[in-house]
Amino acid sequence: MTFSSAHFGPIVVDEESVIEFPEGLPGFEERRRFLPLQAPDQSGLVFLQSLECGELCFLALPVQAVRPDYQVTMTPEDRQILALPAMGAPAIGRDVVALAILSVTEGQEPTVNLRSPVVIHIGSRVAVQAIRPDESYQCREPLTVHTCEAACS
Amino acid sequence: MLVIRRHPGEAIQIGEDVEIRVIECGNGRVKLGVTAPQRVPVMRSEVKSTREQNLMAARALRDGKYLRQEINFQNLAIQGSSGEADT
Repeated sequence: MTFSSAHFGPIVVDEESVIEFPEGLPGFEERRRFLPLQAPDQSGLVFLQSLECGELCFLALPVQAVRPDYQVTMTPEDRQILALPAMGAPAIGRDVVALAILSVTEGQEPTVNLRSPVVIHIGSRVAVQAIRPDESYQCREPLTVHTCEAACS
Repeated sequence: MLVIRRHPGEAIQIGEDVEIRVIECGNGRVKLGVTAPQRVPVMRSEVKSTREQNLMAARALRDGKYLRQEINFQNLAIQGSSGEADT
């Protein structure tokens, strides 16, 4: 299947790569199917391109690139959507991928939403924007990216 | 801020047509029932801020100012192997 993105032009959609938000995202409740695209320039940036609206695309970063010690905390309702066990933090990289949506407005420092990461179940590719029940992180955290060298050394 | 004490089963009224009823409380949580006309959006506060943030984030890319069109994007492989394996 080919989809016409307002940002990338025609893109070939591999069904295996599509992620599905059964409940959409707050503000975009009707947008369910997204394709994560990655720049091949090692920046780690991920584009979440809607497959229902060519103009809708979010820019995101893996949470661990922003806060290497980030732990995902989800409400019971969100865990149920991803069919995750009721107890224990889902492991980033093994159970789930967690992406923080970036907000870039001209004339302002970029911020990143660590309060509500997009959590994608690796096995099923079902996704939810999981608003943390705690307040350890805010919707507008200043963006400071940790490079992989720094995080892994 | 107006502070009102209520028991489970009791309600407060906001304006003509919004009612908030305490259904149950305990374990540090309160279950509320909200009756409001369709035109009044009702959501948890944290959903409101996430919603606003999403709308702002989507707007930035829609304006197209931050995209380098010449880059060829490839499908991102979300793989379990990218994280730490426990073997």
